[in-house]
Amino acid sequence: MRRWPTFLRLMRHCRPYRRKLILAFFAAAGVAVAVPTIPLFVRDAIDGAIPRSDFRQLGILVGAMLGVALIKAFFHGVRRQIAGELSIGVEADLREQLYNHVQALDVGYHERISTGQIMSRATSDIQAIRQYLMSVAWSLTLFIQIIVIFGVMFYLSPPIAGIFLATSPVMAWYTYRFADKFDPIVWEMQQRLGDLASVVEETVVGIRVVKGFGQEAQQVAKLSGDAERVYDAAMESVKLRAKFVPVFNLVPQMGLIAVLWYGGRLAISGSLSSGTIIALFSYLFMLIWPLRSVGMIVAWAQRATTSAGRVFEILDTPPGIADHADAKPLDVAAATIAFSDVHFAYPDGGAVLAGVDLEVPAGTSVALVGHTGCGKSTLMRIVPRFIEPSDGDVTIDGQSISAVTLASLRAQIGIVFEDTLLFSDTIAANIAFGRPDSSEEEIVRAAVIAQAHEFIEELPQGYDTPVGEHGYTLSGGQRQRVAIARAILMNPKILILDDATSNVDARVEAAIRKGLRSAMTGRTTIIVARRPQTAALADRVAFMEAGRIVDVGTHTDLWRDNKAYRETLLATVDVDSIAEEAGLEVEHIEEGVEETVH
Amino acid sequence: MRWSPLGRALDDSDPRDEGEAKFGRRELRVLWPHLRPHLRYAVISVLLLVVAQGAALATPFLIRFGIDEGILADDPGKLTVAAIILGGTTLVNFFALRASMSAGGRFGEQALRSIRIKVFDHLAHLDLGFFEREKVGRLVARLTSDVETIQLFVTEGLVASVSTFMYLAGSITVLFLMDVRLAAAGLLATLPLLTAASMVFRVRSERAYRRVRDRIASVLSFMQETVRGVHVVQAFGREHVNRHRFRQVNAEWVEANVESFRPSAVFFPLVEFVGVLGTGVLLLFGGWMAARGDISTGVMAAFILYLNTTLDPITQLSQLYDTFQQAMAGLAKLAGLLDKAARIIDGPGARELSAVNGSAGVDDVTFRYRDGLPDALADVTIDIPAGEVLALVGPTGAGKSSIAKLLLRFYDPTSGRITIDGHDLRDVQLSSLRERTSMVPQEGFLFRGTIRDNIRFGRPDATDDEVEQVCRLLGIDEAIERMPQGFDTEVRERGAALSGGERQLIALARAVLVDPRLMILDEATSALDAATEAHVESALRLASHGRTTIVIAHRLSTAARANRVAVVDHGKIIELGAHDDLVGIEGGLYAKLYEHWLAN
Repeated sequence: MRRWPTFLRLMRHCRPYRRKLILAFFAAAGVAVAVPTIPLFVRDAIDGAIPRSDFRQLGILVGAMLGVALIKAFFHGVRRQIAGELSIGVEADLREQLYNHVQALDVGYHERISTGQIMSRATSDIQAIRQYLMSVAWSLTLFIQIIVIFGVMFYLSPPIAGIFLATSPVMAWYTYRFADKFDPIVWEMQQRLGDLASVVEETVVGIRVVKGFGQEAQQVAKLSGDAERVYDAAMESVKLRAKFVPVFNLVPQMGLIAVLWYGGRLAISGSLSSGTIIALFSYLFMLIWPLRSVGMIVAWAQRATTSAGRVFEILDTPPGIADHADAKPLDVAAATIAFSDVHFAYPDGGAVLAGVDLEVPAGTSVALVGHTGCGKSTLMRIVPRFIEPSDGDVTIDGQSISAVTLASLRAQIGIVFEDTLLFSDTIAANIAFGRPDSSEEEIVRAAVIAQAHEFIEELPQGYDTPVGEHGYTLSGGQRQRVAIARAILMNPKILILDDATSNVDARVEAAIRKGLRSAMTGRTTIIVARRPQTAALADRVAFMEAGRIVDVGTHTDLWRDNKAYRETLLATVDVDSIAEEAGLEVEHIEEGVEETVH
Repeated sequence: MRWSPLGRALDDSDPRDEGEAKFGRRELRVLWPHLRPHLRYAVISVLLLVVAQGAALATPFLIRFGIDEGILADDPGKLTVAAIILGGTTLVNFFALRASMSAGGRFGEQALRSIRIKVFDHLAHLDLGFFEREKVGRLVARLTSDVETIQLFVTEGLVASVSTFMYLAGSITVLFLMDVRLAAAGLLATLPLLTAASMVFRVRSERAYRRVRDRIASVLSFMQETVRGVHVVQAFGREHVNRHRFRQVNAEWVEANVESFRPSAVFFPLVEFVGVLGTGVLLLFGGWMAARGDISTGVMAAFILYLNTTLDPITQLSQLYDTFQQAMAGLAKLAGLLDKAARIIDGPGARELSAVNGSAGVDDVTFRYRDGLPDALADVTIDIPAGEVLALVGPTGAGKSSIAKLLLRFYDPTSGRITIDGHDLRDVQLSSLRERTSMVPQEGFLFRGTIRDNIRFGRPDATDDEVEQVCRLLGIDEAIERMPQGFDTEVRERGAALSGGERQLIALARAVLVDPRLMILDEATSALDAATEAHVESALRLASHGRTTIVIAHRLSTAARANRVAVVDHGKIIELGAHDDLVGIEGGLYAKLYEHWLAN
């Protein structure tokens, strides 16, 4: 039975708020005690003051009743406010823990789980938990209320109260069975909600592709499928709930019948006063709603437990790439990078790197050149430990990167990704991304080196210009230069540039190359080059084919001596061979033109 | 302060959202069509609830009958009759409630399902401009968090609330039936107070809940963006800063929430107090009437007994209130989204674009993204004959992408017109236009699913053979087949198992498979090595079937291979002609660029 541990663990999250919790319970107890006393005043009034037309006593009774009601209202208000603050506090804490943990999880994990799934746990699951926690103090009120009412009824008529007590094991069993069935249904529903969130998220992120192909309907169909599955699971839960919750209405109703029939007989035989009968009824009526509410809360608690399990599932996932127990901070003197026999393969098979040996001496640069898919990007992702080699080792100044702390390793590396993702913030903040406390001068200096300063100054708000989601308002080339400035600002010992200058226009390209050269001085640099000009920037070139380095030397030497190298960087194409490879016949294509144009 | 991202004001709540969270007639009008088809179940549910509550309301009468006719009249037979009937009504109540919960749940879930689909459908069809202005996370929050607040209410509280309300209404009716004078007195004593309190309360609490919805959208939007960009976050060791910032937005959300509790923490206890106050007034008034002999003590006792039972449902309602208000605020936000009109839609009498040559025209076009922004394009005119390869060249930000977006009608020009085969794009059915055009953007965005599905994205009915042929053409078939599951390899989020170049190749294959008559390549080959790029360009031409191609080129090698080159600068076309001609223009921008390029 894993529900109890999960539930208790959820409850432990209330610990920081225990003072609030105690106060809420105290207020809840106050309410619980006040509630059943009110009918006592009513009974005294009806049994005594009113038949005797004693208005003085009636006035006192009503006054006392209102006094009690006022105290109850006060306690209720306190309970409500505190219960609210408590539940919001726990919700905020859980979301924050989830966020912090997710940030620390390795990139490989993020490739397996979609952003939508994570978002869904941070919203719908945590909201379900809050819904229940709001009612924790209230459920105490109800509990005390039910106990007190039982006590009074026991005092008034033990046999009638006994009948009631007999039903509780049945209720407990019923609740247990309900919880058993409910758990997998809720899990399924929450999972489907996550799928649905994923479709929404990726459609919005990839909206330009969706619109470019006019495939809105396809995405809507995907979402409809998920909405359908959410609906199916939700309906299962509706049906189960419909079976379960009304039972809590049945119990007090049964009590009423018992009192009427059995108690009535006792009254006729004279062993119960009619006042007592009325009091019993009035207490039974008071049980109706608390019991009904208990039914509701049990269902909430169950759902919250399932949702908490889903949140804990992520919290309990250890990061696939983390500091080893005896990890030391990286001690960088000059930053010589050495790859020795590095292999990489995805768990499901495909080998990407098949034994790479390469040394990049401190302060020098190496350009990686090779056909698309030869393993350049993978090799670069290994250095900051986004992925770990399946075999072999990478060292920096003789220290294995797997033996140093992640934070110290990444602090020494400046990376320019090929997708140049920017965040919605000002340009200045994006450049200062890795070091938010940078001064204005530092930011401008980095921008100048990256050749970004000029265009930034021309923007309407200069460095304060907000760049939208994914830097939409900037062109690809501008985004890339901001990304270069972002890496330069880190003042790293190691620079990793992925295709940094590939989509900048020719005029700016030369200027950037100049800037890059100055940024590269004194830094150990690995640069993925796709143009001869970029390759020429580096001190040496490593030419890769199918996951191996097949040639190393200066650009000039390789360009002169290695035909394959030259062909990779040069745009020469034999059209006939493409047609042959693709199995196309030229006549066939001509026909195609006729057909479509006609 | 200006330079510190941490010091930046975090209030990025959208001012346009203000006022949208109030649920009113406008929202109901927007949502009504999506609720109506499922109303049948709501009606069934309510009818069953009427039965259930009717049965429940019989209880006090039966008990009174039992007391008066059975206990007080010493008649055990009548007592038994009362008990048996009570047993019957109890069972009726039980089964009717079950059925009602099922039907009500069905209504809620069905309505929710169609709201989900409709809102998403609406969102997906909004124009690109809308998406470029909105934050991804905020839009995602609409369809997740906002919808889920409704889900929570529907599954946890909808039927309970309605039944409680009905119980309350029924109870008041019964009170009037029992004794009009007492009921009227009770109502008079409580109603004015309750009305006044609830008016004050409504205004305050709605404001607070509206703020809560805005804040949660900020939290989720921050979360979405940084989780999607987690590789950048980790590369720059930014985790601690984000942690701090998340705590800030989260704290603002907490603050908004705590404020939302304050009105209800006063209101609901007040309501309960007023209920007891009513009881007190009735005791005094009833006592006075009983003293005058106007009323029997039994009637009074039953009346007050009954009155007390109306107080507990109020407590239950108050507990559901938060869930209810969140749902209403969420619903209002969704209605606001549904109310946003798509600007790029089929005009009246839009024609289907059938056989297309692919000639395109930009006819004296001026374009601004929004009023108040400078012109992105000014008086641009180009005629692009069918089958031409036109390269757009120019500095970044000159307006090349704007021309591309207009040609595919992602935006409409501010003035002038864009034509395809001589038809104004605004007179053409959007779906038929999209079928025959396609654009390959730089990022090579891939969806979750297999590589095959991604290539098939623009033409879901393409056969496996067609998919593979396109890949052979682009020369990526071998690379794909080397992957663990070949074409059935799952592409995961961020597609990081694939390099940027591979993603671009898949994106290209996706476009080629559609075989569009007009294709726009927007820096679509930037991550390819030079040889692969040249290969792809030739392959595209080979299989072009006479299509018109517009290439946004940054490499003049690409431009040199085009039929014509248009040089764009500051929103204008300043040079237009064949590469060889432009190179010859003395002092021309293109000639200068080319010289520069050669020098490298």
